[in-house]
Amino acid sequence: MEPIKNIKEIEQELVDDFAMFETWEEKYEYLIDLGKKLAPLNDEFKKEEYKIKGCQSSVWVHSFEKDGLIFFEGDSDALIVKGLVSMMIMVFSGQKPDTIVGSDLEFLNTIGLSSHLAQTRSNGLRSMIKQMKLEASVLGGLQSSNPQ
Amino acid sequence: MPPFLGGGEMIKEVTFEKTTYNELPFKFEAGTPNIADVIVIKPAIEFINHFGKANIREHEDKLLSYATQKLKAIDGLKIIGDVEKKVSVISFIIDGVHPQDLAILLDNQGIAVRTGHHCAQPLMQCLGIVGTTRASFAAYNTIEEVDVMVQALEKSLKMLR
Repeated sequence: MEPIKNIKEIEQELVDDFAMFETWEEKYEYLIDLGKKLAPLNDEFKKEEYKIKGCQSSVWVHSFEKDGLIFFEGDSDALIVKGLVSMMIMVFSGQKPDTIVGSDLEFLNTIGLSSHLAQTRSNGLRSMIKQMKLEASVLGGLQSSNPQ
Repeated sequence: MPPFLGGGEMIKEVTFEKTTYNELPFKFEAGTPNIADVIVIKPAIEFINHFGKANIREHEDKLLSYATQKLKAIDGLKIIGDVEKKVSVISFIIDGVHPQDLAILLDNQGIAVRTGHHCAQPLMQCLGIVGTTRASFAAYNTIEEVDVMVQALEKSLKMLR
């Protein structure tokens, strides 16, 4: 099955959405709103094994494969982080494994959030992206979950 | 005695056959020394002597009690650690608000606080909390700055709630 939109299109939509807001307050309020609107994650996935390591707050991500596409769900106990989770899900969920793994996510640096939060070298976000790419790769059969 | 740390200046000669170390004290002082701190130690001592330890303590106590009173007025805020004689730091939690969210929004307003478990995870577990937000006040802070922090905090809460 083909994705409805490609990653670049979704990234551009997010960039356009954030560009509507001028002040940092509005941008963060929008991000917090994205977090609040994120579809709830079933409690069975809010466990240690679904937790992303390296985040100050708790972040859980669950993934599954359907018709050759990878889908993600997630949650966090911190609202701003939940907004970031929400954006990552918008970008990655419903994509093909190889495009997820090969993506470089430029939008994070251009939507106007403070640099330490949004840069991919920020610890938590980097862990989140790395984990999602790893899961896409494993579910898509691109690599085994336990490389020996 | 063999050196425990390698680095610049501690070595005299390195060949494939053997390594010889520099003479003392250099052998045990690998790498760049803490130059910045050496330079500022004099003005730091002069600063403390100029104001006097008692005055500094009094000023910090004043900031602490003012900030405590201001923070207590915020809906849902609970101060963690309220012994009578403590240094001028305030750790707190707020109902339904994650410390990390608060820190990000305060940071955007130029307010520097520490958040998280403060390297005291067993204590956080014992208290049943994920972490706290901690504001620290020093001799060079002012009452006005406490007000700015409280305003920034109220603004952050409005954004999160």
